[in-house]
Amino acid sequence: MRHSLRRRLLAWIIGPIALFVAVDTVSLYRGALRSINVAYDRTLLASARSIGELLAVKDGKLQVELPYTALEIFQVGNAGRMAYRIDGFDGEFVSGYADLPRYAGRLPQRGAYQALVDFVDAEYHDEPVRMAALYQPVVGARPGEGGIARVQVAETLEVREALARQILLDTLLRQALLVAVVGGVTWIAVSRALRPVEALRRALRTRDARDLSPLETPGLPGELQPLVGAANELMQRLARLLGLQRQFVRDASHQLRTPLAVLKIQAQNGLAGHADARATLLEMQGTIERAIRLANQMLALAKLEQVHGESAPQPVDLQEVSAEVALDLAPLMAERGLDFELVAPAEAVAVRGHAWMLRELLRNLLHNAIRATPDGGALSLRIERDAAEGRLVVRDSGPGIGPALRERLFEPFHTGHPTAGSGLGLTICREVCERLGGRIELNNRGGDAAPAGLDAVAAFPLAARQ
Amino acid sequence: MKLLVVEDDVAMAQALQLALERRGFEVECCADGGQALQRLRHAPPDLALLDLTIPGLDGLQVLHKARAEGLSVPIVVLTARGAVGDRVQGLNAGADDYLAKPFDLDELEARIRALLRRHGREQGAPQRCGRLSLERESGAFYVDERVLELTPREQALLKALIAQPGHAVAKDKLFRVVFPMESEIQFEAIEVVAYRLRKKLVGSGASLVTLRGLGYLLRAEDAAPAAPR
Repeated sequence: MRHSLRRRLLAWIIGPIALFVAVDTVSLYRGALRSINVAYDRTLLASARSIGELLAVKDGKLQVELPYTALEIFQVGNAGRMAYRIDGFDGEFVSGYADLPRYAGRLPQRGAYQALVDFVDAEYHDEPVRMAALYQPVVGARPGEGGIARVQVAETLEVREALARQILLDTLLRQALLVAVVGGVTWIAVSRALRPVEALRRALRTRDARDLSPLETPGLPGELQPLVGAANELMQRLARLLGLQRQFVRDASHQLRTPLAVLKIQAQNGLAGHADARATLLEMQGTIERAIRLANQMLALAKLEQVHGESAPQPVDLQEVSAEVALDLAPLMAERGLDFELVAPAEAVAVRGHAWMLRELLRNLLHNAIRATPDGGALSLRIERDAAEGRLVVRDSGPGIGPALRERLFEPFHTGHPTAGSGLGLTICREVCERLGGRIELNNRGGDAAPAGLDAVAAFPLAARQ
Repeated sequence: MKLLVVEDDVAMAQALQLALERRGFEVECCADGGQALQRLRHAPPDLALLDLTIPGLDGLQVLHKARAEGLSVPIVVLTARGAVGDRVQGLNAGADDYLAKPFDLDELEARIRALLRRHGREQGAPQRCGRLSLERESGAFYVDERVLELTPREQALLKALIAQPGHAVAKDKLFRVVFPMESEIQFEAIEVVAYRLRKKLVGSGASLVTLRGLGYLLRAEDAAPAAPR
């Protein structure tokens, strides 16, 4: 299966979900990072405050009295290492780690109290750190004594990163599980849904070539019913076509046996001396001609069916085809003394088709017309054209045809001349017209009641001008 | 005239031999492709009739090889296959003519004689239709022993028609024969020539048949009915 339905469905379901999950994971991770920062910034601030509480003013100078325990948190604290520095009222370094970079930012414009705090990313000992800067007002015992001291506390990012990694990992695991579950469920659902298709495939593969009965489809989903319906319809058409062909083969063998049977009797009569030898041979020759014509027409019909769709139609000039076929049949017309005329417009009339098919068609129409026309009667072949089609009109002066016969004449082996016709000529003509998208009509001239002759009209779409 | 008939169906070969010998040809038969090629090489006939489905080398192979070796014997392909594709294939392979079985003996003879004439292997034999005959060297027409008086144009027309008695010849083709190199003449002028010629042919046993809009045909008046095709 090149375009596997299963693979397609999977791609269409898993693809968007996976994309969504990826975007979701990224945003989840970002959110988590933000939460972690907020939480840890608070503890940083708490540390800064607790240092700020310990600030005092002595002799107009900032004094720091950090108890040893308070310092401990900066040394061991937790996994993250911390550092601090305290700057005096004039920005001078007072205590802590002097190499911790001085807060250089400007306080954000917020509310009065919070405005004294800021958080920045900085670097300490070549490591990225998160740093809280607190402006702590310190008031001395004497009035006017005191000022704003700055407390900075920094912390390395290990803890935050470890936590973020943990959260990311958890999230990814959950999302992967989700994708896997969706994928699995889809796979199972699609497989179950496709089971009837597989059953249909097996049924078709194991089917006997001659079995054209409709497909049985228990449990086939409604979406596939039209497909099976179409297949069944095709099989019906095939069955009908096969039936017609079987009928044709049966009829054809019967038709071929008839002249052979006639020949046998004619030969026996001749040999037994019941008939004059020359007369017998002449009769036999007539029978043979009939058999030859029948065989040729059956071949032509077989060829028409064989070449279906084999080659594209070409522009064919009706004048050329007409002249060729009429010249070919001229001896027959001369022999009957027919008054023949070819009537053609001055310019070429090109239709879409195959020259040999049109020749075959015209040969049959002319042949019928020659046979229908009485000795010395008028017979014409006219080439006509209008905006859309080119027409061949074979106009005889015979008896015309009865309305009952008109349609049946196109069926194989239905002949208007029980002794002379093969019954295939018009079948071939109709077949050619169907192949080339044309039409054929048999029209009694001057009404069906007392026809003055028959007009056999074959019309074909004009070839596009080059 | 020596003909080689390459045909593996014995009945067909015998019938052909009989018919062709009665029509004045010397006939040799051969039923195998390889042998046929040997004959064409070492004892070339004036013309060969070649069936396509024969044992040994098949007919098309014989044709190919013969032409590849530069053998120029005129070859007529006879076959029951009859499809257009085969015809094209046969002619492409180097056949000079092609006849589908079953064919008419008169038709076969006409084709053979036409080919022999074209290859310059047959001269002098008069062409006939009814009691009318054409003496090849002089170009004169006779009704029995009497010379038929004709203008050069009538003569050209009759000559073109008697080459294929019983077969129609297209008007434009006749026009080019009767009025060579003349472009000012109206197309209808051929009808005048034909009209006069028809009158002169009365009593000759041959008659000129007009197929209006199509062409002309010369046929023997007492001819047996031609076989429909």
